Amino acid sequence: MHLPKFDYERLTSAEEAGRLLGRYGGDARLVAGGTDLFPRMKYGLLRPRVILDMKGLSVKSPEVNGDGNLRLGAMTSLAGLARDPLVREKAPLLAEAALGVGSVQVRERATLGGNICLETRCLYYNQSHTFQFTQACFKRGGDLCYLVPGGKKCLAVFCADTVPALISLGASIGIGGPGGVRRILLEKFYTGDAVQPLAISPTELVTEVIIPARPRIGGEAFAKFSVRGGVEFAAVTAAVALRMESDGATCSAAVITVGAVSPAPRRARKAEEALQGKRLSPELFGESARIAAGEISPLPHHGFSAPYLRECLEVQIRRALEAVAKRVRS
Amino acid sequence: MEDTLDYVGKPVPRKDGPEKVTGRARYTVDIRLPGMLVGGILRSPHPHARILNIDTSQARRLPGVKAVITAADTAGVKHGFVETPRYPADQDPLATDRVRFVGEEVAAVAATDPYVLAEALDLIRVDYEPLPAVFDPEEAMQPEAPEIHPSHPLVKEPFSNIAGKTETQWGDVELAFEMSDYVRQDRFESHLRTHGYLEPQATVASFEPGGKLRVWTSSQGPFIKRAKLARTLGLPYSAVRVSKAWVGGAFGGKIDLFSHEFCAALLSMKAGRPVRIEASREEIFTAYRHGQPLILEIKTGVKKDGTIMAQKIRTVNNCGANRGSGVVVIFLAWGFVMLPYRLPNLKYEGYAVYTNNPIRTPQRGHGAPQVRFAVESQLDMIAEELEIDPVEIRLKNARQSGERLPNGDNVHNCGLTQCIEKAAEHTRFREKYGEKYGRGRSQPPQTNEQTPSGSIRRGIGMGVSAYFGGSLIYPNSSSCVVKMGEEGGATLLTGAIDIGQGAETILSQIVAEELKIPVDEIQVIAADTETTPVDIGAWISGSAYVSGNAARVAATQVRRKLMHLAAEELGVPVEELDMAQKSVYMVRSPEKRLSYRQIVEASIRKRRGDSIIGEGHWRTMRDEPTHPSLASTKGRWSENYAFDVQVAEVEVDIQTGHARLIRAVTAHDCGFPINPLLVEGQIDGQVSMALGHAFMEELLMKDGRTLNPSWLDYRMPTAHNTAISEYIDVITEAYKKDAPYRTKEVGEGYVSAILGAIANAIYDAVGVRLVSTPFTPEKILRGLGKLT
Repeated sequence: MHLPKFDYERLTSAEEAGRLLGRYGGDARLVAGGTDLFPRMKYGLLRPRVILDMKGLSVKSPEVNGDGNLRLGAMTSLAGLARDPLVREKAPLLAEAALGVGSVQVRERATLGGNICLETRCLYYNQSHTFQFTQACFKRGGDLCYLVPGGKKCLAVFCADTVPALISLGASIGIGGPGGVRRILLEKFYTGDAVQPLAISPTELVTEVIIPARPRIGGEAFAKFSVRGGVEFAAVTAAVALRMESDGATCSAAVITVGAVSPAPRRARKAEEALQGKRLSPELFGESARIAAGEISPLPHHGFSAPYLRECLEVQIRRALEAVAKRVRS
Repeated sequence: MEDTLDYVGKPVPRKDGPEKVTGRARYTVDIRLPGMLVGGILRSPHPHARILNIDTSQARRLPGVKAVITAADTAGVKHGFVETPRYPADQDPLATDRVRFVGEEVAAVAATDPYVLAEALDLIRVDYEPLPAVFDPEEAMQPEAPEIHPSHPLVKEPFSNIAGKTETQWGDVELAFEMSDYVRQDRFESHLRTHGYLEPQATVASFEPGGKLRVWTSSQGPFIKRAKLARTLGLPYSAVRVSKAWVGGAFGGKIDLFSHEFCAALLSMKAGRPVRIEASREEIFTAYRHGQPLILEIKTGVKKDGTIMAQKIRTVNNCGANRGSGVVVIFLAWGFVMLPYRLPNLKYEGYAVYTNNPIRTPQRGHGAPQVRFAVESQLDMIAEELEIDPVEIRLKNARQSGERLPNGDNVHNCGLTQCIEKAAEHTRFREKYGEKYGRGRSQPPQTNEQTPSGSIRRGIGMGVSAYFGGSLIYPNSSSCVVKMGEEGGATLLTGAIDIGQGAETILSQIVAEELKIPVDEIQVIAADTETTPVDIGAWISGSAYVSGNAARVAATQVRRKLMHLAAEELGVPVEELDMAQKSVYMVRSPEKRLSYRQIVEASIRKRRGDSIIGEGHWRTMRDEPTHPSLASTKGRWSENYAFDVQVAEVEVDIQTGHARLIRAVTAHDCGFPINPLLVEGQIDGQVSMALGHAFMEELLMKDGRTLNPSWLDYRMPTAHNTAISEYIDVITEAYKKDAPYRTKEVGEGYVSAILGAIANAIYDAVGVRLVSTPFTPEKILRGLGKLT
């Protein structure tokens, strides 16, 4: 497999990025690490006329604002996130999630912005279609689904590991475009439409991530289940963040975000509510996880059946909650 | 006098190591010839279709396209993994009137660059008429199933799509079942998995002025490639020269002729320029040849004490669109059933069934992992029912030294009993097995999550396997030439190919031993059909025995010449001489010596210029004309059988269903290890390959199409998934100077017992009996009753 031919421009500044995106529009693609983009280009899923390479742009170091928010440049590598002392202190959940991505080599190249903008995945879609699956599915502009024959829409899943963590941390992102920078809650960035999973236009780019200060008492945990345990997209991810009352034992607010089982990351809101105002206990965790497994219907993907993923999701959420409880106590 | 061995039996590092780890080793894809074109293949999008028309005119007109071929351009000669009167060649290098699997080769193009190539392949218009297809072997056997090929004419049952049948029996099975105290029947299924060789399939072909076709191809032996290329291209053998390039893994997947090899050659002949074809990893996963999923139905009768009375076995092989090695697996499955345990009564039938799936090929173990998984699982089920421990029932039935196998072969020295005992003792198997449930396991397994040990359960299991070491399939034999160098070193010419198993290293050790020359001073010229003698090839597990003995004979000839010359020069009888450190010395006064350099000089001076050259030849079962009958199993199979016992310790998470191998112990009788380091490497490699097959690797296919054709989604284990691997050598043979040795194989047998051991360990851990591979979290949770 060879990359299709394309023109190449190496960006030197964010302004230039904006200018060139304005000029090329949908014909251009930004590339940072390229770990998601280039395989898709090799598969023939994407044929941009021009590649705008962001490697030349300066990478902003993580910093804490006056308001206590953690600001991360979108060009920060996942490996860089995982080892940055500030990130590990202010957003250990993100560091933990970043460490679960791909392999050492992938994490060194892949960026936070790239992970946030990851395409949805499906076994049928993520391969070249030179002699099999040649009829276009929904995702490739056709009108059929191979995964669910007779299905009415694309059921590819969103697998980025860092995103459930960021959503559970209440992160927002900065998006630069022709009209300047807009800031939205990351949760709102995902459309739920597997064909167009991101609420971003071709002339925009994700520039930064802002994570609110950690609660005074609380804790977070991330769980990723995959068969190989590395170099693999998740079967299920669960990111849990709890804010605690001053007694350190009662949950005042919870965010549970589940990844990899639907076209967008999903909040388990009923499971979150079940935790609110309650004293932490194994029984409570079990109940909350059960509720989550009831309110989220996983899509079968990558060879895993829906019933298995539902069971797995419950276990991962319960384990994440148990892990949080240990961290709150310590 | 006891021989002292200096090189054989020593942990000599691989000769190819430095070249490979420094990146200097030249693989096929590294070969660059002037004017070389890039070739590629147009493949069928349909699992089954009639080809109505192929129009290549537009592709031919595209600038940069130098040759386009279809079946019309070929000599029309078929080939096959098996080419016998019963099973004649049945594969067209390019499809003629029908395609029978997704990815079947329809046309090929050579172009100046990959972009032109891709465009040209796009421009070829093929009109297909899709036909009904069938993918499941048991469906394909039904009389009303779509016909892929007519059933074999000698199979009389009213089944469709029978590529071949193996049938054999001895004793009286029905009577033996009646006399048994306990009889049970079970069904086991194995899944589709592939070799995962890291170096892709690749070929460079260059048809040179004068009519010589030069070929470099990633293979397991150049001689069979030459034979099949020459025949399908309509060339004499002498017009085809296949030369060595390093091979980055094969595992059975690169033995027989592949269409890309044929196409590279024919395109080069048409274009008059060298052509390189490198298969993409996606092509390898979707359209190349994989291992073989078997269905085994086993009925076994035993006495109360566990003595096996009889087995009745039916094997169904999902053999793909042509016979491939599918008709070999159903023969081998019989062998892997009858090898390790005494089996007084057997009725065996195996069917290879055509389906609209890619063609099959051997994969390390060639049926043994599937068969041993089934037999070893059932043996534990029987043992539990009889309240015998798994060690005892295996000891009860294990074959012993000198036993004659039902096909007339002899197991010679057999260390199986010792292997079982040592493996059990080393792992404290009897203490650990079933400890959680009490002996006899009458209680249900404890799977309550609130137990102190959390959600992890540990289990231990045992499996047994045996494997043959070499049989007769073209080219059947090996020859070697050893030449003394003027400085006292030696050069070995061998047709053997080193595919990472260490062939060049062990052959060098043997020559080094016979001549007392350091391994580093043995140069190897290998795997070239024109400059090296014929070799059996790096498959059917015969290399160490067949090529090794040929090298030994050649080196012995050289040694005799050296000794006789030295005797002449020193004026003493040969019996008073010995050799060490590249010289021959008098045993009684070692200071009287001649260096090899001096002896070679003397030879040239005194013997009309003779340099010193030895030749050696070896063939397994030299009095047998051919391999045993694939249909009836009659005839000798092998001279050497290796035995092994593997113990697996696993951890199972009863909440996620995730199981992993944490420790593997392999007790094995490989005869004797020519190179213990390489034996350990083979064991580690097989354990990690088996754990991939057990837990994570599976080619997912739907309607003949492959869903996970990438390293990302076909989950091979990474380094961090590997288990602790321990070894126990049971040495039953010896290497002696001047005597043929009988070493056994280590490359395939140890991927097999471990699979059954893992299944048995999972049962020990959580009480879930898995009757199909792989052992996925989903199956385990289902077994635990957690999924509805």
